[in-house]
Amino acid sequence: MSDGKVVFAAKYGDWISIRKIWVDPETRPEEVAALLVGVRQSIDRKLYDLLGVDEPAVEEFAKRLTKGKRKGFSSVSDVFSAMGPEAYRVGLSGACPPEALPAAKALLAQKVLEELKMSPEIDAKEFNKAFPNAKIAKPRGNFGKKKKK
Amino acid sequence: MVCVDEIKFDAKYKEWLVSKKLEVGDKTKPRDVAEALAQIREEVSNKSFQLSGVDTKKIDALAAKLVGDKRGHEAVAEVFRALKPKEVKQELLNACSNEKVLPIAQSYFNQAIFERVKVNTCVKPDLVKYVYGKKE
Repeated sequence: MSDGKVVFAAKYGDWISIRKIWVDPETRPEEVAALLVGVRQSIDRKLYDLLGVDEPAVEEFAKRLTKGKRKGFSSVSDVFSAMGPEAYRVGLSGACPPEALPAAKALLAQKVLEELKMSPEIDAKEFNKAFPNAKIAKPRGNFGKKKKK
Repeated sequence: MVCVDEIKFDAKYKEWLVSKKLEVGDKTKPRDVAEALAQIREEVSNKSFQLSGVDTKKIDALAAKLVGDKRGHEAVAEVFRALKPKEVKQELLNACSNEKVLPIAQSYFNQAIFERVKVNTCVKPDLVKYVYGKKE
């Protein structure tokens, strides 16, 4: 007998994302957490897509900013003190329409932190290490992009 | 199974109850879809940390203490420069249900610091409103 459920179901144009878990007294919190991380990842991709942010371009810029830096608090400090308005303007030009710059900046901050192994979100690898029996599923399907013929 | 276009999130897990739904029709704008997604995102992100065994309130309080009233990029640099890794680790361990979730607590800590200094690391409903406000 199921006591509850957590369901995310989205269909918008070509984009389809469905994740669900039926919950009973045996369901462990980390199983629900794993599903939620998957939902969050799926939403993030679609949000940046809707806002017109070129995720690979931002990721590439984050890699350039963090090149040679080691994991740690001081590296976060170094990189962010070097990220002035000019760095944003130059580095993110072409990665988004002008009005979406704040969204591209948010993505850049996230990617920089990920490059420095200081992610502000639950990292799937770390989560799966902590909870080997409640693994986060890898993203599936297309993300509203045209299929290759 | 989703047949018509819609965005739906339903959660019933212990005391956690959430229900959000947006039916997508001809008059629905991408802005509406983005706002609905950003709202759901906000809901699930925080809950995923809590269900992983991280005491988010403790870490929020720690971030508030460390950041104070500093804001912006300069504040990120300043706050992270001043952090003492061993002390932070101990504080984070106090916010973990067990040692194995420490990396997850570390991620929440990073997020909480950025949240506090008002530097976005994700798309929030307010950010969606701002971007589409400029577009329209």
